[in-house]
Amino acid sequence: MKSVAVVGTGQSKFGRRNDVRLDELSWESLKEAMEDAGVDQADIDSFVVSTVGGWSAELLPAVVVGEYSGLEPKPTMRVEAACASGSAAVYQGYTLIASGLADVVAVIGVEKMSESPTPVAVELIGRAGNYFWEFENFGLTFPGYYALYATAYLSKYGATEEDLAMVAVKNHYYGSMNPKAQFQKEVTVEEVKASKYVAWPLKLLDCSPITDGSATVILASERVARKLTKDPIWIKGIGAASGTANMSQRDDFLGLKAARIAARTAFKRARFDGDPRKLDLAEVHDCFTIAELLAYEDLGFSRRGEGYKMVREGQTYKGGVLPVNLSGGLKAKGHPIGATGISMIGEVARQLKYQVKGNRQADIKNGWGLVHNIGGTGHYAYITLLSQSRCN
Amino acid sequence: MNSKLIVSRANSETKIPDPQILFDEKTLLPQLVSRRVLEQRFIIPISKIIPFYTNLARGRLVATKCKRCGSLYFPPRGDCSKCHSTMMLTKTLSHEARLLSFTKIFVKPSSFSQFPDYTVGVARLKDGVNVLCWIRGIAMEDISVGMKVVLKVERRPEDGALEYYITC
Repeated sequence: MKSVAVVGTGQSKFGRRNDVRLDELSWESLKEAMEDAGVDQADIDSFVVSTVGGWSAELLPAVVVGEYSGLEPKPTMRVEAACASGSAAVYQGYTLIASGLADVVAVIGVEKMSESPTPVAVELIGRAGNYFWEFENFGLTFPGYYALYATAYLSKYGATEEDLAMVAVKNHYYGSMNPKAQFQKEVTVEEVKASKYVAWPLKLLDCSPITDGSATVILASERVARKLTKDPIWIKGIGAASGTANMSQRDDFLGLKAARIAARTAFKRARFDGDPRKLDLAEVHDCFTIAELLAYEDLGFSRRGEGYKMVREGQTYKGGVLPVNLSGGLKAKGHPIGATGISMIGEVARQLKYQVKGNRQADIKNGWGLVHNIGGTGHYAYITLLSQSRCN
Repeated sequence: MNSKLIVSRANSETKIPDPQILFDEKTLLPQLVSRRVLEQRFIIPISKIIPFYTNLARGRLVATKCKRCGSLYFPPRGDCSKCHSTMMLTKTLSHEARLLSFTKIFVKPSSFSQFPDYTVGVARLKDGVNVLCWIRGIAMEDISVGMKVVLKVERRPEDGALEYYITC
């Protein structure tokens, strides 16, 4: 297998973007990423588009984006893995280059969720599981699925709704410094606790928002990457796994099995021993506050049942054991489903290149970063390890 | 949250005589409100799981058990993915269970907007299979993880669906 590097990143402003259509929105991040990489359309062999859709008008986003961006007739496809679509699309771009089929691939994630009314978006995300057995008669929602995990977790380990709130407080703190975040304001534990229940025990401020946005990374083979830049960021390993569609088929509601398997695979492929102290930062999938605590445990940052202690002790702020979600996370930066994973991978690449302005920039000591991107409620899991150096 | 679309002063300024072009109340940005409306209703085959429905009609919840290798499946199904057999037996499930987790849905999907807020739980039945369904007849403050519950099958008053639910 050939080595694969991230050579350019771009991201649109996240939020309610009713100033632009889907193709116009995706162009914002693609343009930025091409300029960052120093490539143009002629240099790109293939492009992968990550969109979940359903809430927006265009049924074939890949070709709509391709035509608007001047990428036609390059080969393309849409990739879907629910909220992990972005990482799945990067995985596709990675395999194209690692196999030798392409040298440069643009991976573009875009989502226009606000083209439909909010209750329709709530409906469609709620159907993301097993429609026939669990939605048709029982009307679960996406917060509802994660609430099942929150209830079981709080009950078993003695964590509290206040611990969940502290995840939101941390991520809003970093989001307040991110000019591309949907929410650029801090929140307090009291404000989170006073927000309305969405799916007990999760409240509005435990939830990531409905977001429009796009993100792009340009991937390149070692041969091309060396020509383009002095500091490519290498994809050291991607691990992926799937979970059952039905929630009823889960053994427990205390962690995501798919995330644990994907992490083990990624660590093995990257020859990484799993010690969180060797990472300089991690972006984890905090679609809900509980999901960040599950991520700490599934990734081995803490022992099972002790993830909440990390946030209680502030261990995932800068200066702690491992800074997590310096972008503001899905919680504050926003969660445009298909763009999320690409935005996370782009954030870690920029962090490792010292491209982040101000106090959000992590201290880079070992040159390693991790991205944990979950689709649905552990239906899909993708873990990506990135490093400044090609060889361990 | 989606804000409203309005006719704004900008309409007269831009002089676009199309009633489907409106302005966002908050941002005042122009939007085309699509004329093409799609209603979706799915038609889903149930031939392979007809015994599930005939048993529900008699108040019983059933799983399927592979006649060849003995694998037990809930949700019920017509194919055994372990041994590739299509000879599945119907097995009536015990209605005694323990609650694994639960939640109450306050922000509902649009197609459930006519229902009052509902509580959903996952319970492990004595037979070892898990079932996800609504919890009825127990106050939220009396529900706890690990409690003993029972399953009941009835016609749902709100929409006439044959429904199984958790209660005490």
